[in-house]
Amino acid sequence: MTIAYPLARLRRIGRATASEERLQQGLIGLTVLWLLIGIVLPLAPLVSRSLSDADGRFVGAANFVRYFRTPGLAWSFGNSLVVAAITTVLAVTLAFGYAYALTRTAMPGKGFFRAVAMLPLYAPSLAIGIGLVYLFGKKGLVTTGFLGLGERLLGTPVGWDIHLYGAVGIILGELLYCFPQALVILVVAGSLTDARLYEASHALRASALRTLWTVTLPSLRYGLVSAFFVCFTLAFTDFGVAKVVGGNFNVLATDIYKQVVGQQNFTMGATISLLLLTPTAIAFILDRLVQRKQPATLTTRSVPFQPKPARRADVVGTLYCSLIAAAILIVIGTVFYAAVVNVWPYNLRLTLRHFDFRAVGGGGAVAFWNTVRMSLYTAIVGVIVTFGSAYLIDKTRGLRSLTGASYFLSMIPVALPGLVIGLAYIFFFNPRHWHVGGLAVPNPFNFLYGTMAILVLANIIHFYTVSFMTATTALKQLDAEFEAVAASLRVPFYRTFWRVTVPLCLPAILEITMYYFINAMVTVSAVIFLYPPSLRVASVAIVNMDDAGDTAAAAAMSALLILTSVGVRLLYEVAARQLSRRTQRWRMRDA
Amino acid sequence: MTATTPYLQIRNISKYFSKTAALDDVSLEVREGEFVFLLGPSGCGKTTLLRIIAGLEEPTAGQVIQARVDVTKLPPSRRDFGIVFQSYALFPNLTAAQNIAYGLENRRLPRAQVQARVGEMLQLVGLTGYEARYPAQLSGGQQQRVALARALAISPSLLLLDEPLSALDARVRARLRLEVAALQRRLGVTTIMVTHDQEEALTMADRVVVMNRGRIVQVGSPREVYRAPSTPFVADFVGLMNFLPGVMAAGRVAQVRCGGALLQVPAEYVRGHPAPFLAPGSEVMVAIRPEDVRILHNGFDVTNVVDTKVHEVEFLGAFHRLHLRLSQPTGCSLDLTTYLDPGGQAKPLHKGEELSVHLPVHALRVYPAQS
Repeated sequence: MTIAYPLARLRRIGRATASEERLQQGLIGLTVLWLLIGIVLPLAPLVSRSLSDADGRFVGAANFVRYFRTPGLAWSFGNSLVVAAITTVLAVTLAFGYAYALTRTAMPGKGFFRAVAMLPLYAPSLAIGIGLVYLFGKKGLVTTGFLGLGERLLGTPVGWDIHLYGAVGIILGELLYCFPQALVILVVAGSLTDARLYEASHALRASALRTLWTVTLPSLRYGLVSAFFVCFTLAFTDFGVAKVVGGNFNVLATDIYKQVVGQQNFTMGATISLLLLTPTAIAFILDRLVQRKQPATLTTRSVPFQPKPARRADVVGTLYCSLIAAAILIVIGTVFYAAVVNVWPYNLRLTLRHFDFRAVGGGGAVAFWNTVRMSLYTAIVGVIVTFGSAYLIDKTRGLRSLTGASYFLSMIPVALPGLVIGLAYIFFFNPRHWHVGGLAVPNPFNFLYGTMAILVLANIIHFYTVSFMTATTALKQLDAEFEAVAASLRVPFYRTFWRVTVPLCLPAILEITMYYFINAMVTVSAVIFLYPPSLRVASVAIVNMDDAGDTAAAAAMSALLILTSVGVRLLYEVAARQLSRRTQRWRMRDA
Repeated sequence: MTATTPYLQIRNISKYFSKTAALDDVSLEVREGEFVFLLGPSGCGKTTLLRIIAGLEEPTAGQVIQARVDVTKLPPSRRDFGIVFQSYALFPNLTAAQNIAYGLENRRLPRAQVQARVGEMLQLVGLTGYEARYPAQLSGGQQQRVALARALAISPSLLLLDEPLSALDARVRARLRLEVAALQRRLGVTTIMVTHDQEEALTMADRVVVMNRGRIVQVGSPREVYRAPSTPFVADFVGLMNFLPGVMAAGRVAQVRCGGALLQVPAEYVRGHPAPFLAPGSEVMVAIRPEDVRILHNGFDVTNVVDTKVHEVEFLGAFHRLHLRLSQPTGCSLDLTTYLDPGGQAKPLHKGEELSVHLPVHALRVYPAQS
């Protein structure tokens, strides 16, 4: 007797889902492809340009030799290194204290201090430079003793000239620019401490210093390394601050700009780009090597640390954070003040006339709206592409080589300075034909050049790694067996993605959207080489206004960008709270 | 083909993770409707085998034949099975009813039919009235039952359970053992369950597959595995077992010299049938279950009496466990469980007391000493 096994059913199911598998494999192929086009392929012409002369002949390292033999240029490399190193040490040290106060003391006003410390993230680095100019520049508030007010009151000149233009200005500006980035990392690392370690240390009667040395620092070690890496990369490659307050103190970022925009010397631009890239790539590799050893510091059995009130520590923490928060508020506040003062420093009547950009160059209001549009597109396309790629890389079964390659490619952008991405994109997307080994190959991506699309792509790549890591972390927190269960129920993966994965990751998805939007609003380096005359953007307009001496207008535009970014963030917080009340009901334990 | 064709055949499955063998040439047959347990310590390959049956892992070598179809290379979505994981993997953003309906909604069934089936499944696992709860609002045992209902809702021909009870606390686990076993018998669905809990396997299984280091060590009914463990590993892993090292003695009667004592053992070890032949002079381990050890209160004229000293008395509520030490220079320790006499006739034992115990011949098993 034969038993009727459901053979026919198995067969039918077979055909139906084989296509689903192929779809997933096709998608991971697409992921690799877009990462190659967005990241790797554009770097090839950049490298080959740096090794060729103006006519395209291969010259080996001749450009690099020439660079280091040109005294005006060679200095910049050392300048960049020194400035970045000093900034990094200062920023990480200051942020460490701030993060310690936020996570380890019971001082009041933590929400306020946290919010103020994040303010520079919502400003273009150019704006920080402009704020410094109005404080410490030739006619700055501090330099002139509050515009002569101090002298009138006290009878003696109280002005203090810190000689802003040059290394001092760059370090001050980069410090403000890097501080929140270091702080974010250190606060996260600081919250990942097991309270039981502190209890054990206390029970063993270890001194406060010994506890700091044996419990606090080891748990922050990996965060500290990351903070160093991020700050160094930012300070070494930032263009905005150096452009505004650098004066005659040349750094690599401003040199690239001068070579490409000023002298149209793309060969030297490519050469300096590689010099800009090398230290960040080394820092990136070092950071990866260290992070790979990181053990899980927080297990499911860990107890979150709750700081107890301690009078002396809380007072010191409050004073320390107040000082730094005041510094940040003063610089950003000065930008706003400068934007509404009629004629600095002679006529201090308040006016909104600087917000009428028709009188100045740079693109004005149109540029502002272009920036808003570009940021929206970057946020929407960016979150879809990033979360989709992270999902496929994490969940695709088999095809290890493709998922591994995609993951590796996704890590690269964090080491790529925006200027390098911009220049590489010119070389890759601008030519109608690529010349590969004497052959002219039609460029299928040429149509993107000079469009909004290439600005959006450059922004997505520029801010890709952090967004990708946010998505990956969120995905890794989901039960690894969801997909296995769904497969056993014969539900195709895209349905589970839409019904389970996306709802569960909604907080991370919104966070990524916001991250892309804010960064696209304030970035200058990734777009300054790529925007077409018909599509000027606000951050570039600030550069042009500042160049033309319309500093008040530049301050006004900066203020507008900061207001928009902060405003959007606040709107987001309100909307996210509403949304989570409706969609995250399942998180609550009570029915 | 006849009705005796096994529903599931696992043929020479091997799985290597970068040169270390997780599974080494494993073969197994499961009959339709059977409840089979894969039992072993962590890292023995039992979960890997289950995942290969589900298609979640690919074997390095071998075949999986399900319902006479070679499914070895098929992805999970093209096989016919339901699965419950240790974590349950319930979708936290879906209610209990939505979780159970998850596999049904994809089949273009009328909504009413889906709802009817969900209601049926909720009733089956005793959770009627809980349909609108989210997983976070259910207890561990309830979550486990929702996961079971979700897996069974699509009427799979094969049910795979990966340590489904191990995340629960002891009391709930004991109750669900009975419930799951009863459910399996009622539905008659062929079921394979992975566990490291021997008690679970003994109480629930039709057949137990004991695994160690990527190999199957013994297959048999719970009784066979407990009463006649084929290796010291099985004997030790399933239940408690005392081991006494010794040497096979020469002679007509099967005897083992353990230190000063000469223990008679079943004759099969000299006949070499059905047990393997153990040559005189070879080093062996004599094994006996604690409950087979008899305490002698007066001198009895029986073989295999050994003199011991009470080393430790453990109070375990319903009974005492005595740790005895053989009064031999070898100093072997002998583990012994004895039940507290409800009539209070057993005189309380104290540490250091001398005690004669009887090791019945039929209860002894002999294994070649491990090299």
